Amino acid sequence: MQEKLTAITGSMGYFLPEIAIVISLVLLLIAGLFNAGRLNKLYQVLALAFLAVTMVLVVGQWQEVGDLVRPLPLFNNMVQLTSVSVFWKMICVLGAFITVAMGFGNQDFKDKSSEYYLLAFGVLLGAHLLVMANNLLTIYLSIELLSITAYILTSFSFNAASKEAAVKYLLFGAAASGVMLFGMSWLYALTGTLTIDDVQFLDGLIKANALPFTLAAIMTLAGLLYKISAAPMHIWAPDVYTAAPTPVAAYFSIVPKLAGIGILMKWMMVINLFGSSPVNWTIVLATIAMISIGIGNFSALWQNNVKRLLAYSSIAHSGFLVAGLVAYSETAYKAILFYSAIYLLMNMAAFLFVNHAEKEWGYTKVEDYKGLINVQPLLGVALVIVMIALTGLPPTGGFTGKFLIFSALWDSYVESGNDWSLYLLIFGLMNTVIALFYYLKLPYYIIFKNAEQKPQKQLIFSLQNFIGFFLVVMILLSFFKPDSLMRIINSVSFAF
Amino acid sequence: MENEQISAFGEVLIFLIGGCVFVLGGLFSSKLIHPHRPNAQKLESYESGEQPIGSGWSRFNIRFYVVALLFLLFEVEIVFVFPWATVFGNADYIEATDGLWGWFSIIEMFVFIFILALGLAYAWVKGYLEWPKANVTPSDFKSPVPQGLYDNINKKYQSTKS
Amino acid sequence: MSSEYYFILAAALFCIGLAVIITKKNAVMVLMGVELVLNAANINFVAVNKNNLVSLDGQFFALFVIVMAAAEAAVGLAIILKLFKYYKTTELDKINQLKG
Repeated sequence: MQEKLTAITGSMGYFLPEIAIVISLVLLLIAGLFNAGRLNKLYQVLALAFLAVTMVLVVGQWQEVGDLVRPLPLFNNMVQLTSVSVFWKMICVLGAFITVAMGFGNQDFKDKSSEYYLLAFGVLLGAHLLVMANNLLTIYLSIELLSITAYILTSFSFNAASKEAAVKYLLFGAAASGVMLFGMSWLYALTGTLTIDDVQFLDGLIKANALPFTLAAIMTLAGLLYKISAAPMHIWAPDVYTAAPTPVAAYFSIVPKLAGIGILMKWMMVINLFGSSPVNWTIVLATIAMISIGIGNFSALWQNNVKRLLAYSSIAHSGFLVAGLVAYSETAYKAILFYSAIYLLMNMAAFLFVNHAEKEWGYTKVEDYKGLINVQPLLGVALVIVMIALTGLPPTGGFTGKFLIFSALWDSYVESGNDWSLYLLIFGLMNTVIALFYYLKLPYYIIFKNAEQKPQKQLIFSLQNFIGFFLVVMILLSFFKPDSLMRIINSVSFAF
Repeated sequence: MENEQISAFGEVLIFLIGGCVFVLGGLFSSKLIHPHRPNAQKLESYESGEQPIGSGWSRFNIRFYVVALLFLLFEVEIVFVFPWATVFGNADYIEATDGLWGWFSIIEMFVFIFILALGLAYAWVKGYLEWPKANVTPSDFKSPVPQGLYDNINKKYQSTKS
Repeated sequence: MSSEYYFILAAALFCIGLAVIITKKNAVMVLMGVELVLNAANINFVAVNKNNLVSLDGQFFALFVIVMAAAEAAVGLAIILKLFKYYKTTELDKINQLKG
């Protein structure tokens, strides 16, 4: 008893970012009790300040775990602190920071402003717990925390469309998490423990019959795939991204998705059972990746709405991230980390500019961007660079990310003779060509079409655009000098 | 079957089956023999002879939902508080951990209840606890009878009564 | 009584819940189907824990699931109420403004 309690109090020291998030959530709620509408600015500043504090704490944690050889179990192994989880946490906090900055100075939420920020903190807390989770209970609870707050955030446009998107998201999400829970209950029945890296857990799964194990693992996988909006659990994404406020859509494309990838990486290592799994997960994942990439790219071809286009593009990007899981090696996992970091930069930059265009000039369709380069040259060029990065062409970090994933796939084909890696590689390359058509639709309109009526020139030096340009510079830098990011990622160790 | 006797649960089961058979049998036999000639008047919902107006699906006031939510908040709290209450004062644990157990569990529960109470405070501040009173707007109807007349009558009967 | 029966009951409940989710057109009915699925999982957790009372993992999990189900239902009903305000219906077939 004594040891357990000291273990819990001792774990608190390694749990500072999460505690900071909870405290900021509570403080925002208390601040929200005092007349909401007028204090809008205060909440924004508070939220940014709290996120900055959290970021400092997470970076501090990064230095702390630098010399960690084994994962550090916290709270009687409910969660685990590893260098990988701290890396994901940094990405999530950065995503949250940019999201809050994106809505800075924006008065859309009226008297619901404090709720907006505290729900955003709720999503962040869920993501943090999810990437650290080491127990089926923690996984379930953090996924639910992520989802339930996300359902409410979706409806923050306060119009019919956003309610419709929220109800679709809710019903799909509730069904997916229910199925995942049932799968987990079977895994518990097969093993008698909930800790996923426990010897008893792995032993129980190895001894289990093939059929129940496969069913349970696939059911659990369904819930996780839902969070990263990979096919076939992607149906909610386009509607939600279109109808939710733009910062919220940007948030959903980064934080829940990358946290989901984080836990998926761990989960694949568990259910692979040191290669003795009765199911060949490579085939399952390769199929999922192909369908995601295919659906994302082909559906995006017909889209006219920019946010919807970005939604399909994010489905395709999930496909590429899952492709990294197919290769299943240390280099592949590092490639996923690199790709995720670049994905954060480029997707956030895209949403920042789209948000700016939507707020200032009311642009929602691709045609609206006609001749933007003549009116706002800087913004036009930046948007073109971001689109090139999303396609995965040089000279941007998007190319480096895709290149690393593809080379990991090739390595896995050469080394372990995994045919599916090769198929996926070819399919992915072909799809990059298809992606050209829709990603370059926007640059085409921006550069080669002339605007019928030009929006009046406006000062574009806002905080949002400043961050956007900074991200664009980072995207370019990550192509020419990826060493510093690589160095960070190389210091992460996986337990292969 | 090694046991010929019917157990107590078996008797309950027989009653259950018997009950079902009686109810379903009655419904089914009436279905078999009753005449079936519906018309518009017969299919109307019965409103004590009045003409029914509108849909039969009447809606509850939305405010019941808010009250139900607040109830849910504290109903769910019980799920956690109840197991906690059975162990937090355990003398052996407190003895074994030199009092740490007691402090630990009480602080934990205070944090938990504080956050839940914040939810209640939120609902209170945002005005969801107030049941709205009927909004009485004074009518702009000008009565030809002067106000003084009423006052006189009121005064007269007040004096006689008291 | 072996725990086999509990698993069969849970599986049946899960299938009913899934069938409700897939076939029902009303948003509230779909939420009810989700509750059935969650309770099916709960039965499994508690049934597994029945033979192993050393660690109460399964029973704790069931408690947390109950709470999560309540939270999900509360948020779900709130969103459905708002949806009803805009569309005057909760039939999912008739709510199709977003397409593409």
